[in-house]
Amino acid sequence: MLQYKLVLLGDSSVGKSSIVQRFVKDSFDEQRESTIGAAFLSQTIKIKSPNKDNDQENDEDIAIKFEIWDTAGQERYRSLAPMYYRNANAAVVVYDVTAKDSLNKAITWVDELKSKVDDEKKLVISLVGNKIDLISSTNDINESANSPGRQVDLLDAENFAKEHNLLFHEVSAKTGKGVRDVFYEIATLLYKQKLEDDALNKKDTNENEDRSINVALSRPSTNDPTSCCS
Amino acid sequence: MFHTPPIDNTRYDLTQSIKSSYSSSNNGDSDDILSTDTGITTNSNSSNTSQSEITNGTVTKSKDTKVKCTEAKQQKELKQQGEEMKKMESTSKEDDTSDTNNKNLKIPDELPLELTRLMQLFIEDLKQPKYDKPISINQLAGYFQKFYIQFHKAATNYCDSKISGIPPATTTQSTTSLSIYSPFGFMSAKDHLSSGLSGIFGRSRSSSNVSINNNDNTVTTVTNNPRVSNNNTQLMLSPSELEYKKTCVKKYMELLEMDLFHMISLLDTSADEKQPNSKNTTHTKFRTYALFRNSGNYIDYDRLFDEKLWELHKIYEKYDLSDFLHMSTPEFDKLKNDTDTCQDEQESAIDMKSPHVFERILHELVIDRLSPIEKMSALFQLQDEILKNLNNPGNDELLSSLIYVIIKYPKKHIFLCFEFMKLFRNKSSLVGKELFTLTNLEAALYFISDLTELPNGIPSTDLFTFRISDAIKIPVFGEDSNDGEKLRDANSDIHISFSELSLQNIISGITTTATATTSFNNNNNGNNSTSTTTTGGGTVAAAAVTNNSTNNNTLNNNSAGIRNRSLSNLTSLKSVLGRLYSSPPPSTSNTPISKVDIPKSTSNHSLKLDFTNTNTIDSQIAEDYKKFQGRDFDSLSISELREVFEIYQMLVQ
Repeated sequence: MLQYKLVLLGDSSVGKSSIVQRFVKDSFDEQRESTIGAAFLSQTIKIKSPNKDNDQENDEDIAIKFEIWDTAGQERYRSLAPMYYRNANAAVVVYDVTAKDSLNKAITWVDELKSKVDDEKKLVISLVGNKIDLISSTNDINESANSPGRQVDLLDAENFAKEHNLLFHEVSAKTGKGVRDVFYEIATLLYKQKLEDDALNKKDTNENEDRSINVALSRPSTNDPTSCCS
Repeated sequence: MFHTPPIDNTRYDLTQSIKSSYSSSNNGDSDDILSTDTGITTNSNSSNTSQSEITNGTVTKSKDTKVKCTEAKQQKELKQQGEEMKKMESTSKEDDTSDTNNKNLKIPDELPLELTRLMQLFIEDLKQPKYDKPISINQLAGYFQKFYIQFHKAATNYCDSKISGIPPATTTQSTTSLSIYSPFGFMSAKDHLSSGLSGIFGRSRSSSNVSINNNDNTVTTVTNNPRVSNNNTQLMLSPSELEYKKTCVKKYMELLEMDLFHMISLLDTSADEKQPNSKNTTHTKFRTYALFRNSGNYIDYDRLFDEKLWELHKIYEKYDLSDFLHMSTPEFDKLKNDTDTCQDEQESAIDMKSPHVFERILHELVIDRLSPIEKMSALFQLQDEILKNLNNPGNDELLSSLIYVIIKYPKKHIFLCFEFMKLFRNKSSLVGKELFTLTNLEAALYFISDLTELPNGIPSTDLFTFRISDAIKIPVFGEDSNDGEKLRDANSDIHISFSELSLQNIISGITTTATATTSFNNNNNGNNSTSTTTTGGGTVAAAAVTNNSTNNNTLNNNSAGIRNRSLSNLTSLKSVLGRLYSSPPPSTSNTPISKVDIPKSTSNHSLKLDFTNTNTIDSQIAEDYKKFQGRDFDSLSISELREVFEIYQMLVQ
């Protein structure tokens, strides 16, 4: 099983914890893990192997375990965030599609992550716009009395995500729309990364491997007691 | 009766058959581990071992009896903790994918004699007076972490043996390896660590397979296939046996952590000359504080933190901090009411226990619980109690509530308590939920220590003008891979930067980029007194004092540069500082300020310092400067620190 740390960032009212709670709730068929409220959750999911290599026709599901760390989104606690995102493999930066300012804050989170995380190429960042249930499906700018409607343009966020090489989704924690995809996409990407790393390591250690195989082969001829009768 | 090795059992170790043939029914032979230092290579029978026990004198024996006495006491305490530990165990089982524990094999509830012996060896070694200066907390923690890893190997081997039915081979092997172990001790055998300790801790062929599976937050691949994981070992375990082994080793590690600290505390208080016996009964509870006494910056940080926390508590009593902490949610009001009055009968779960459930748990966390693992369980308890009061607890609510509780029930030394947990909790266990919980505590404490702005209308004090974490740097454990290895060599250089002694760095936070230096010279070498004072930068005047052991055991410092060094080098300064301050020097400018002999416990080096200040210092500054010469650092107030800082500013100009 592969295990990854995922950190949730975003302003306090954008619904970070609702997204994770929805994700965990909807993953009822998967293995349920222990939690600390909605502040820390671990959830195992299974993804299909995205392996393109034909020689590894392995259709087995790959188990990915996420350790999800929530952060306190209030501005006052912002300086504490590095303690939470250190050693993270993935970050989900959440904004509220009905609050214009929240995208700006999300952008500053992305900038911070990019500047402070050592191996930023390896950190998978997903930008997630929440609360799409509050906007009408027919009209982007809904001026109804109950809801402020869409305040963050889909294209703006999407372009920003593209520019900075981020994954991007719009979701509704309330209805569950799109939530699952966020985590499955991250899992798939992380797994791809792992395969690439493995391939690189394999190249590097090819010679050594050969040697070790020889050693292993030569073992039965020694007086190792394990080799003869068991 | 003689045992011959069964032909069909390929796993059977030949030495085992010899051992089995001679061993008596008791396990007495494991008691001799420490006393055997003669390098007997074929020592595998009890008569031999008892002999060596006698020849090696009575000292170790008396130690043994002392250890045994304490064990009984310790068992009592452990039973009390048992229930909570079980609870914690159940929470920490999250990683286990299968809960089908082997029914035939019992989960141990105490450490076997062999493993207890290893623990005792470690403790004995820690107590050896072999360092010529106090070791810092980080080095100590390094030793502990290393020991945890070694112990994990030993426990794994032990479990292997238990499952396969073969008596553990560690005893016989360790007696042979102790020829390395005993004369040099645990720490000084560093260079032999790989050979010596791995020899002690088990059979090398299976040790290659032993690894701690939990890597902090990095990607780990855990294979579920027993065949794969057993490729390198001679044991072929069934999945259920593997599961049992895993549980068993985990349990041993938990027991170790509890036992280790209980035993150290019981032994330590009687041996510690600095603590009068009369105080033991009342002050043994918070011994972790004593652990940090050689690490000045931790102590300083802790003191400032306590002051700040107390100030915040006073503010809390007058003003409502809930908005300030962003706790204006309905959930928080509920929490607030619970902690304030707790008379609400609907909240039966909390009311039944105590009106101050948070205070009680905090007290347990900081004071009552001794080992890091027990403190951890108290922290979980605290967190659970907070969660009970919140409806939808994301970390927005959880963290702010935690901060609120810490301010409402300020506990002295809570910062040291946290650092102790961080440093001494077995690193391989500090993952997942546990790591998150500890990180939350860390975040809460750092929020308080770095708080510089108060809500409008609340008068600010000096304490809120600076961030403690800027002013005092706490070395990051683990960043320096040499933690636990430094100072191993008694002749290693001492690098003392007086920037650490300077009070102003607490305020300015500038420590390492000093540009103005004052050198302290050794006149024995006939060097001209040199001194450089550079302007610009306005940073702290610092002097690097080098104990150059090759140079007539005297201080030789004609390079006045500041050494770039990790702060962890300086953590033992506190004791040096104490001595320097305790002998008030006749300080006048252009004359030697003081001549201090610092005695060393074991080495024959005497560190003679001629403090020569050749700068022409304004007499008024000198006057001011002298004002604090006889004072103890600990007794200085913030306003006095400020004065010192002002003097420093004048000096720089």
